[in-house]
This record gives sequence, structure tokens and C-alpha cells, in this order.
Amino acid sequence: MPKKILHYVNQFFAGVGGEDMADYKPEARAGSLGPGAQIAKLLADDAEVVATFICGDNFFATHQAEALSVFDKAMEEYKPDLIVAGPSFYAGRYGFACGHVAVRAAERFGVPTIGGMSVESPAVEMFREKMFIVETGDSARAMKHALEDMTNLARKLLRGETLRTAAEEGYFHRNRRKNFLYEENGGKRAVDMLMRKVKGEPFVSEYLQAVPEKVAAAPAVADLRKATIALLNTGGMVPAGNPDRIEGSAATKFGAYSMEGMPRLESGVIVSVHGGYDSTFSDADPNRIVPLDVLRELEREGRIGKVHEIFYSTVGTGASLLNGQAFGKSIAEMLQNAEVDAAIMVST
Amino acid sequence: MKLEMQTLDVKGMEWGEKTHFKNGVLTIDREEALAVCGDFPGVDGFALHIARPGDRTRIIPVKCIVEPRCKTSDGDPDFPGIVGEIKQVGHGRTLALKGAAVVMTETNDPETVCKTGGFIDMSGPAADYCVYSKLFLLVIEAKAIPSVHREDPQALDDAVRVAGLRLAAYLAKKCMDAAPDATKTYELSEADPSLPGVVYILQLLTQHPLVEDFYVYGQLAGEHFMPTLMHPNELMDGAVTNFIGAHCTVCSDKQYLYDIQNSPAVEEFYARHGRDLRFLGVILHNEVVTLEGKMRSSLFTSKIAAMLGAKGAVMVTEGHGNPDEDIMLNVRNLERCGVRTVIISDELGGVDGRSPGLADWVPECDAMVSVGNTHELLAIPERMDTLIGNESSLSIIRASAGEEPKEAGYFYTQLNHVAGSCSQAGIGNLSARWI
Repeated sequence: MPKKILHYVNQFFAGVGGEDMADYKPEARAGSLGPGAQIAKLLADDAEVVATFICGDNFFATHQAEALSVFDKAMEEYKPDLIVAGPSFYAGRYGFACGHVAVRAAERFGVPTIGGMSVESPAVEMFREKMFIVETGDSARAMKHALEDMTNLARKLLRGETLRTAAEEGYFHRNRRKNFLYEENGGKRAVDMLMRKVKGEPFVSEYLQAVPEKVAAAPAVADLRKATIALLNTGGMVPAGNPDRIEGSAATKFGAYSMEGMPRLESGVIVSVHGGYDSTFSDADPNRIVPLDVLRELEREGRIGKVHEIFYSTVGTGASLLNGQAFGKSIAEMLQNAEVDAAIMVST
Repeated sequence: MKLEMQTLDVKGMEWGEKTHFKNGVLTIDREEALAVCGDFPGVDGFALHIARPGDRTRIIPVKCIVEPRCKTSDGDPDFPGIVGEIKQVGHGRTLALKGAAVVMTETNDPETVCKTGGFIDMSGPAADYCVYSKLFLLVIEAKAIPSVHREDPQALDDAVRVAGLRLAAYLAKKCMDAAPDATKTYELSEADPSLPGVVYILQLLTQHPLVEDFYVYGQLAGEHFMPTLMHPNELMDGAVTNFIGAHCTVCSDKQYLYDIQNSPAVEEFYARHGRDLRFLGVILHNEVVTLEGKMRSSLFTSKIAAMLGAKGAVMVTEGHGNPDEDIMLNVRNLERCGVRTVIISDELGGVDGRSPGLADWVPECDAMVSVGNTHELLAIPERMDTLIGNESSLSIIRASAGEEPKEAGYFYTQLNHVAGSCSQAGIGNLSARWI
């Protein structure tokens, strides 16, 4: 059975009219029209363009919910395997509409979308993670190539072929990294890249990263005697048995554990699951990583207000930055809700 | 310094009466080989196993991988300061057994999970990512004495490290009579001074005093070591020996000793020496754990490169996280003194590949060779027919992926547990790209 494509176009490419018809109300028509006819021809062996969803650019921008509800009905009626949106080239409103359609198709129906935009299109940055945006020229003059490139990618998706890199497939990458095998080993590639760089020839780095944001130190706690202090660690300190199954490296979670009523953490009760350091000493005395014993002393002496009765743990080694950021935000929120004034972060 | 490297291509490994090489097959006298390992108070002896490419065998934990090599020129030492005397290496003649390696592991103490989660599968999906799965492996398994092991986990590591290096030298020594399959000469001969000078910067983890990482002529480099200049031939000849201790979970991006002996960037620098570059040497850099130490080491590394007149550097690293700071300090300091840099690094991109790959980055860093996202999931069989090593270490390589693989009897691990899969010496062909 051939696969089914739903094509999305604006009023202009649907042949309804130009800017004067930009308020054209959304509708779905059976079969292909406009650029869709060429899409149908190029993909004749693999799929049929079962319907075309049309909406005026202004209408979409000002009545997005209504436009998408008409789109939903078309999705339910035609049950497509793939959406082709545009190409919208450099267009702003049209590009955003393509993006919103793609997000709807992915999130509500699990159906992927291929769009076509030029590098200057403002919708690229906004929607690149949500859809395949094939790189096109900046106007309808580039239609022929755009449709060829978009349908080449569509064919692979419809056939369930494994895709190569975004650069090789010709779409704007979706901010994700994936492993591939190459002819030359890394050492040889490094020397090749170095010699091009030394000679002032163009070279392409295999990876570049944004310079991370530097976090400024928070102001000092005004009066420790009234402050509630929490204990956090990346040393993997958890109750024996590791109830949350926190990984020994590349952790995907953190744990929050009560120490209410405990004068100190006991060996054997709290253990380290960290895979990046010798845990002999932290297992012998878990207070070395979670210094509850000392904090209780300060609490008794009145030098701090009180100890927050939950400690928070994860494993730092090999963790991804995004996971680390997410843990940090969640823990900070929990501390704020518990009206904690300051925290001691023990890193290992 | 001129080194003649003779090689034998190992295409088979068998047990036999006498250790020798014939028709591509390395035959090993098991009893003699065991005797060569020696006795150590920290372990209850050793066991030896052969693992061949294609075998349904899993080896875990992997503590060290070394290519069998020995000196065949008179009076020169093997692995100086550990197996042989402390004498200059990097010159004379060396025999290397290509296609083979000695792998060090441990067993016997189910209570003590070796956190070196590294494993080698000789077949199956993980073998596609592992250079060592394609080699004929002689595996030395140190038998732990649980009571000793718990008191002093370093004792077992020390024993298997020395025994394994002895074994590597022994295997090559016993093949000296065979006619070499190839001979290659490595020499930094005089080259056109107008060609740009380049250096290879080998950054190695130095987590001393808690972990004993790498040794130079038998001396543990440690935190007091200052980056120094080495001849590339010294790396090929066992002057630097690296060991993966018991506490480095992420093993995909280590510099196994095999990688140091066989660095592809060094090989390529040699191939192009006198053609379009001048290979000036190797700077050995220790990645210590304190920020002040990192700053100090980086000053020395960039100063040595500048004094040599280097115009470029390929910089390889070990580990990630805090060592990313060493990379970035070195890139910044080197670029500021006119040495163009290319780094080889893996990425910690998360299971979905969406996370930034390194812990830090500087604007001066504009050239990186990626050796893969080490967080990528890989479905592997629960069991192979044979397990060599310590079964209790298997618990470490299980990734919590939130779903099970489609194949029955498989589980998800991450590439970071596959030995050498994202080798930062650049010995493999894996690389991460945008999708």
C-alpha cells in the first residue's frame, strides 16, 4: 500500500491569491495542487499526496488555534504518514506556519514533517529541532531544486532508511549529535585538519560548542544563626541498596534522602555508588561527603539555624551538562520551597 | 634517535608446547608464560586465557591493554623501569606483534565491584565499536585475595600491571627468531626548516595520590610531574606506561597503553615529516586534579611548544569532565603563543545527543576532531558463552534507558563502557555529527 502525504501550502502557492488573500481561511482539499503536483510526481513510486491543507498566512498568524483545529481534522480524515510543508523559502509568516503545523503533527499525531527554508528564514532557529528543514534558496525561483531535495529526504523517511548526517542529507540539523563511522581514523583526521589550519586553508571542525555561561557567586548569607542549611553532593551518596538506582557514571537522575533524627550518617547505611573515585573512605564514613556530623554540632551550638533534613545526591562523573543543569534547577526549586537559605555543595 | 620497528602479523593464537611464532600463529606455552608473570603478595596468582576475534567471549573489567613488544637490540630494556632496567629507549631495534594484545583483568572477589566498567566483547554489536575485538588477546586474570583486596585495592592493580607488562615483553621475545613481516624505521631526520614544525601533545590523567595512572621510565608521574619533552620513539618503546586503575568508570575514552604505542597521529606526523611538516616531538602533559596544578602544567606545555618553534599541535586527552579544563587551558595558552591547535576529544552528549559535549569551551578552540558521543546507547547480549574476569562488574555497564531493547536477551549499555570505543588517541573511526 503506498504511503500517504499531506501537503501544506499558503494561499499564494495554492493559487488562491497573493497578499490580498492572506486572510484565506484554512481548508483541506483532496489530492495535490500547486507545488504538490510536482511532489506527487517525484514520489510517485513511494507515496500519494492524499490531501492539501491550505491556509492564508495572515489567518494562520492571527488565528493559530482555529487553523490548527482544521489541520487536526484533516489529519484524522487522511491519516498521512508524512507532512510536507512548503517550501516556504525565506518567508516569515509562511515559515512559522509550516513550523507550527510540524509541531502539531509531531506532538499530537507522531507524524514527521519535511519543510524547506532558506538559511535566513527566521523560522529555522525556532523549529529546527521539531522537523526536517531542508535548506533551499531564498525564493520561489529555487522551487525545482527545493522540491527535489525535499522529496529525496521524504523518500528515505518513507522507506524507513537510516539517515546520514544532516549535512549529507541537506537539512538544518536538529541540535542533536549521533555517531557515525568514517574511513579515516581520528588521528589521521586531526593531522589533516591541523595542516590545513597551519597553512591558513579552510577547515571544518567536527564539533564546536558555545562558551558556557559563568555563574557568579551568590552573596554571603547575612546571618548564619538564623539560616537553614542544606547538604548536596555529586559524590553518589545514597541509602544502601541504591533505591533510585542512580548510575555510577553518566547519571540520569538525582535522589533526595531524609536524615531526620540522625546525629550523623552511619557507615553501611549510606554508601557511595560513584564510579569515578575510590569510595573506600566515603563508605567508611559517609559524613566525609555529606558532613551531617559537623552540621549537627553547629546546629547544637547555635552557629547555624538548622539543618535541612533532606540531602540531595547524584553522581557527577561522566554526566551530561543538560542533565546536570536539570538536576540543579529541580534541586534549587525544592530548596526554595523548603525555605532553605544556603546549601553546601560537596563535589568529588 | 633512530628506531627500527620490525613487526609480525599475528593471525592466530594457540596454546602449545613452546612459545613461538610460525605461519602467522602465535603459540603460547601456558606454564612458562604463567611463570614469567611472577609472584605477588597481593594476589593469589594469575590465570591466562586466549580470546579470539569472533569468539562469543566477554572480558570485564579491562584494566590495561598492551601490544606485545620487546627490544631486540643488545642491552636495551623492555618497558624500562618496570620490566627492564632504566636505560634510554626509542633507538635500536624493536619487535612488535601486530594483531595481538595482552589484556589485564581481575577476578574472584564478588563483593568488590571493580568500578572500571570497561568491557571487550569479541563478537556481537559492541565488537563493531572496539578496536581490540579484532585482535588476538592473551588475557591475564589476577586472582584477588578478598581480605587483601578490601584493605588495599591498589595491591592487585600493581601486581597485574607488572605481570602483564612482563608477559607482553615475553611474548615478543619468544618470536625473535621469526622473519619479520615488515620493517619500518622511525627517525626525526633533518627536514627543510621552512616547513611548519608540529608537536604531539599527550595529555594523560593524573589523579594521584588516590589513583596511580601513568608512569615514565617506571616513575609514577603523579601531581609533581612537570610536562616534559619526549621523543615519539620513546612512546613506541614503552617509556610511558599507562594503567587504568580501579576507579575510572568511563573507559571508552581512556588512553590504553596500546593506543600510546600505536598513536595514529604520531604515525601520520612521521609519514608527513619532511614532506609538508617537521615533527618536533611529543609533549607529555599531566592532567592533575587541582586548578592550580592544571594552570601550572599548561604553562609548561605551551612554553615547551613555543621554545621548540612549533606552529601546530595535535592534542589528545584522556577522560573528560575536569580534563576538559586542561584541554581548554592548553588551547588558549598555545594559540596565544602562536601554536595552532587541533584537539581530539569525545563528546558527552547525553543519550539523546542533545547535551553540550565538553564541560568547558574557550573561543580560541576552533578545531576539534570528534571521536563520538560516548553516551550513545548500544544494545548488547545479556551473556556471551564465556566471561573472563569478574562477573560482579557487569552491574556497572547496565544503562537505565527507560526502555528495553527489541532483541530478546539484550540490554542497553552506553558506549562509555565499551573499551576504547571513543579512544581519544583517535585510534578508531567513530565520530559524532549533527543530525
